[in-house]
Amino acid sequence: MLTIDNLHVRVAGKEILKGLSLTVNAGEVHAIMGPNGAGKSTLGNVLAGREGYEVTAGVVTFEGRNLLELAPEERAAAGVFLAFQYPVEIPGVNNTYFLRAALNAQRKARGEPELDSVQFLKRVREKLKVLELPDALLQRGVNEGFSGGEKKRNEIFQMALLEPKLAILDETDSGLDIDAMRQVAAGVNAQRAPDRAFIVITHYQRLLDYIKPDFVHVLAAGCIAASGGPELARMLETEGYAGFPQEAA
Amino acid sequence: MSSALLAAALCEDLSPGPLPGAGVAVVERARVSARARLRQQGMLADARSERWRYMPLRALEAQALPLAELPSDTALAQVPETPFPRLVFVDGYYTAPHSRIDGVSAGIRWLPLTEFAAADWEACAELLAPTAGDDALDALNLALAQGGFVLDVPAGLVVEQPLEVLYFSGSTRPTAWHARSLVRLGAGARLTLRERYLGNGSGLASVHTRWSLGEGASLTVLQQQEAPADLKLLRRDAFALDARSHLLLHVMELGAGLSRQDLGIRLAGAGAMVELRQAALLAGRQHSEMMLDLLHATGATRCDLRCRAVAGDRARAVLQGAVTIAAGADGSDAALSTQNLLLSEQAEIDARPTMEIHADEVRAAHGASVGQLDAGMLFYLRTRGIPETAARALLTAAHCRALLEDIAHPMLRADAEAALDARVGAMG
Ligand SMILES: Nc1ncnc2c1ncn2[C@@H]1O[C@H](COP(=O)(O)OP(=O)(O)O)[C@@H](O)[C@H]1O
Ligand SMILES: [Mg+2]
Repeated sequence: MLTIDNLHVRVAGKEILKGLSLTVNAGEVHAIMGPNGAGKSTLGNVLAGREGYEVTAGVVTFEGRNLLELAPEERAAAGVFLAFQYPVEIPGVNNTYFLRAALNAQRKARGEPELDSVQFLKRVREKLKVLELPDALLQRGVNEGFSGGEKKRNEIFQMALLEPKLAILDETDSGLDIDAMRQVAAGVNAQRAPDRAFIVITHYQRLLDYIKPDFVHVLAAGCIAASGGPELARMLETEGYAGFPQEAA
Repeated sequence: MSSALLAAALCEDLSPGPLPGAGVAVVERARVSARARLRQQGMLADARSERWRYMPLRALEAQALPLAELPSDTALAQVPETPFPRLVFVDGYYTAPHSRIDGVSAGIRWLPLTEFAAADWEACAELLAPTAGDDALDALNLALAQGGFVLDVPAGLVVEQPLEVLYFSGSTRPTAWHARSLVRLGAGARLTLRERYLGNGSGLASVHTRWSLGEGASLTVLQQQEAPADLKLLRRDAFALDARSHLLLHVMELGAGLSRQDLGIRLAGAGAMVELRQAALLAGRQHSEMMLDLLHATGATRCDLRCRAVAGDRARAVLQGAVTIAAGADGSDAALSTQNLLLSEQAEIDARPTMEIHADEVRAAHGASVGQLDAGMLFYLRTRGIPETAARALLTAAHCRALLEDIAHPMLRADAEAALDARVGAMG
């Protein structure tokens, strides 16, 4: 589904990713762990198409297409979803309106019929329940006045609604208490499917007790420094990242 | 006289018929003296004056426009319906078939100038006095106003249903029309009034309204300006607020190629408060300006002014003027914020209102910002699949939508939001 080959990325004149390679197949869950500043969010941003992230070398292929050529909205329609580490508040853009515009824009881009408001709301209600988010959040501005936990759950709610093929979750667990983390994990696990893949970026092993990864990778100093199964995450939990190359400050 | 505009205005041959109050002595006298002032001033405004520095005066003065004729049936057929009691003026002319004033609360007096009896003119002396600034623009409006009305809400009356005044511009041949009105709320009265500008006509219009709020009165005004692109619209509003009265004024500048509003607000009684929410959304070569003169004439008065302009293409938005806290107006509270958005490099926003404080123990806050659309928000929307142009439009509308939040009436608010969205959609 996704192949990243020798990816080099510069941000603000500094090389952050230095030859990262990773292959993700349909149905797999890959955890990416690593110390702060290793480049985990940079990877998520590059895959989603953020401006200012300059790819200086490497190739990224998503379902046979050159992902790096596509605009962010084209990547979304192709099935790439990024759950932000820091979701953005957008006052004045109504959440319901936003969700419907997003869903229908994607459907339109894929040549699927748009949903009317009855179909749309039915779908929204189903997904809200899984994440135990209050209906009232729908009437507010996007992420406006949401608590930290609500913002993170809202990201997973959006994922559930948009049904991407590849979801990249950037530290969705950070700042969550144990209940919120369970809800987030339930939201993710409900979406696990043979035709859907996940890249779960996390700093701690804790989330992986709830979302069982097939593969665990350590991202350190801009490269995948180690790969393994769930046992690698448990090892990191006890030994930390001391054994891996650290980013020079 | 070097102003073709004023020369045409003074030329009796260009007048299509009698004006309201013709033959009523006080009215005729006021018009004669207004004409004398026009002749004496010679120009609509002094191009060297700081107050007019941004205005494309030359283009304005060059227009020799005849007064508008009675509207054609085609124009009349285009006037949209509204569910509220309303007065409709098409090219300045009161049109009874479109208006509906029978349903309004008992006790209200609401009359177009054309239906005034001589005694009504006597009772509305303020209509014939200059509206803030005894200048050529006011003289022009007074000398030629065909449209306009008086609205009196007696003390203590709470008018639940919003009222509407619609100014429709329908003459495709460039013409001039003028309207002059008076709105008075007695002590404790409450009223919501929407003033809308629509149409597809061209030319020049001036609309002058004087508003007074008695003690403890509460007035909500929503000025929704969606005038046609070929109209040059000059509005002047003068508000006077008695003790403990409250004014909530929403101004939406969406249409008109050229528009200017002279907004005078006098907080005359202790406890008076005004809240202004002004949103201007401009594109193409639109020019829109507001000249603000707000005076805290007495102590313990409050103003909370929020203005947001968005300018794309080669548009220009201007906010000038001053909030003045007069000597002795101690304990007043003034807040003024302008947040502006530039969508193109050729667009321009000049927002430099000042605060002048001559009193003690006042609270004054003044903030101004000009920025572009937030890149982080734009990216977030796009990662969800919303195309860039649509994402930009959403954020542009959102910038102004925040100002519509305190429109209490659901239908008025929905209309205002729809007008905003339509405007943003048309901006591309
Ligand atoms: N927009 C940016 N501008 C400047 N530096 C950035 C930007 N984004 C990330 N960086 C830098 O890139 C490095 C990696 O950051 P990031 O990808 O956020 O790490 P992680 O998510 O692994 O903690 C850090 O040194 C960070 O300071
Ligand atoms: Mg990060």
